[in-house]
Amino acid sequence: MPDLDDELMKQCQQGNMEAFDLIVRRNQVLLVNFIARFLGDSDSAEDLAQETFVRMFKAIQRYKSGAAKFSTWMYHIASNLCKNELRNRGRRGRFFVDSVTTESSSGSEPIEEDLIATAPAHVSLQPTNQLEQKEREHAVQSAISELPERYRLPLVLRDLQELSYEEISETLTLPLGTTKSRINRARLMLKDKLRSFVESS
Amino acid sequence: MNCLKVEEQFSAYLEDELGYQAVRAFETHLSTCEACRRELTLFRESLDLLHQLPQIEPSAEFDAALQARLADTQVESIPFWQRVLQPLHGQTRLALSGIAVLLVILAGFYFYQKTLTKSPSVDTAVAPETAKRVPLAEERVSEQQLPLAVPNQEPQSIVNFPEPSVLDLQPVRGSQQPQSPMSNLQQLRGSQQPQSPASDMQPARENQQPQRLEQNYILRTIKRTEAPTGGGL
Repeated sequence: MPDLDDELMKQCQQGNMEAFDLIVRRNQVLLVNFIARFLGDSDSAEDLAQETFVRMFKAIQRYKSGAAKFSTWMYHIASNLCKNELRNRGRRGRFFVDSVTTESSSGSEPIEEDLIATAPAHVSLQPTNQLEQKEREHAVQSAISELPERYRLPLVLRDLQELSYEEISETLTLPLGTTKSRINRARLMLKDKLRSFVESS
Repeated sequence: MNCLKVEEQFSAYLEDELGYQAVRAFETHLSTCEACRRELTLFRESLDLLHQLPQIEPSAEFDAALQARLADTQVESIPFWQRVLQPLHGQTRLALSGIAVLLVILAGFYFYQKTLTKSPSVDTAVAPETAKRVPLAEERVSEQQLPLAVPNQEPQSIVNFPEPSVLDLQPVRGSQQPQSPMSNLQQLRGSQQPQSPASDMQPARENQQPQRLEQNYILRTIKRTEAPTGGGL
């Protein structure tokens, strides 16, 4: 089965730039989620996702159809941008606080801290499911963000972006065995970080 | 199988990537190790939590912001040679690259050889300069040392002199000849007789010949002076 994004890229190379709009529409949610979960920052995620598309647009003529999967190419560019972002943050000495919540990007819904602060005092009036969901999401995102970069990246690509081991191996230019062992190691680390949360709930 | 080995295979076990024997060993260990069973359960639950993370929707401004950035972006063109090579398959490209490298090496070797064959003509081109320069230096020296240098430049003689005796064959040490009465004679002979072309090829003989002549002359003089004295006795 031919890769649709690959076909769209070929059309872009032939001058049909409308095909690039389709590529953006098909992949923007994937990219924003990948970057937001990896960085733990949904604000930067949009900016970096746009930068990834800009880089892809610039490199349309350099894209080699059939050499690698389109998704591998796209995630490779995004991964490098994310690594640079983390390095820049480290250089600036910026302390990073996780700010990823599902509604935060829309701006219309209150974030977790706001929900807790404005929650009714009476327990029966709390939006229990929503609060629990926010709490769980925060715990998992914090656990992901605490992982070392070399383990976090393959974990997000595998368990959130659902790439195959082979695709991750190509994206990160790592041997397949190393990719598999890193992902298992990342999951073991995540399990230890979530231990208290899982056991308490 | 120990607990560490089992932990290393958690992902492979849950994703059905273990072979039959490995699964048997894994499950045998689990049946006897409660700690590993608990860890595997926790591993599975934390993965479930990860998979349950909700999807993040991009903001409404995402498209507009991206379009604005793309409007200022140009598609980068690729160099001609890359455009030519791009459609080629990996092996063909590799072969072409190999041929190109080989041609460069051959061209380099050719020009190297050409330079080597040219080098003698370079020497001859340089030689006249040195030839001009050396005589100038010699001229300056010879102008000062001419009277002394002349006796030493005795050309090889072709006149038949008696063969030197055993006494004559003593080795000659030192190139400097002492001033002797023979020097005027030798100078005269040198001016009268043509220089043999072989003299250039035999520098040792050239030095020995005047000495032999001088010794023969001395011996003859001694014999002449001794003969009347001896006859008188």
